[in-house]
Amino acid sequence: MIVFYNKKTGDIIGTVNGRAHDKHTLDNFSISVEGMDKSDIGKYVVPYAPVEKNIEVPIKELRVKKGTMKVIEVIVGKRTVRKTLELTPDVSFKDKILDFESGKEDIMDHKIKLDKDGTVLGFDKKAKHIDS
Amino acid sequence: MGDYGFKVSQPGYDVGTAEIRNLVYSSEYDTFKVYAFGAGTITASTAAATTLVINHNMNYRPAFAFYTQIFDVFVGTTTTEYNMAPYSDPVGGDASIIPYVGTADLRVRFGRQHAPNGTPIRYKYFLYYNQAR
Repeated sequence: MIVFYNKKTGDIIGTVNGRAHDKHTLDNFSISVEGMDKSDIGKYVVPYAPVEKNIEVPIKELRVKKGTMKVIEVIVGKRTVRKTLELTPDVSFKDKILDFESGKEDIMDHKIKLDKDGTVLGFDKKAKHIDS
Repeated sequence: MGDYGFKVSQPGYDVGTAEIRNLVYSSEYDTFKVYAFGAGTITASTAAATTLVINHNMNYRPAFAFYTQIFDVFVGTTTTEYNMAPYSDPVGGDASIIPYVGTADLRVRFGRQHAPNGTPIRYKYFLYYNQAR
């Protein structure tokens, strides 16, 4: 997920959904509003990290069955391999990102939270506007 | 196409004899290939039209789809539903929402009379690798 936001207000201008983006998208894609100073628009690429786990898999061999001469697959043991199960957001506020991805929460109901250096700290839910 | 390719039928249909409308996929026909999709919010301005710029830099005009909330003048609020743009406002004036694509970006112009100043309007977009003719 890539998030474009207003650095001054924290308002989210637009997103590119998805976990994996090609280099062209990462380097060239942007969302802004005409007339807005480009330096006021922030871009945040959500980092993802692989979740790996050791998994036992069978060791198989092909053998010829005596009598029928048929080739059969035989499990002769087990071995442990390290497998990547999935990608997950590699940030302290990963649950929020997962909620955005699943649709449980709408990112547009949020503002981006930045520290004084502009580092992304998370997302704050906007106060609900109540019509009088 | 010759006698080779790849196709998938809907459940209950024989892939060998199914009509095209009963296929889920066929490599014989082109499909939309998504380059990027996402969402966002623009804030309406009555001082001037607001133009959203989605900069794709694909060096050709890609096919796209753009959906947007609208300000319903008869109700006085922004709709929860999304309308497919372009959208022409029935009241007239500079109130339409018009998307147009170029070789560098997809632009969407929200007329200055579309919504009261400061109204947030949400949108969703799809950009495809397919070239617009």
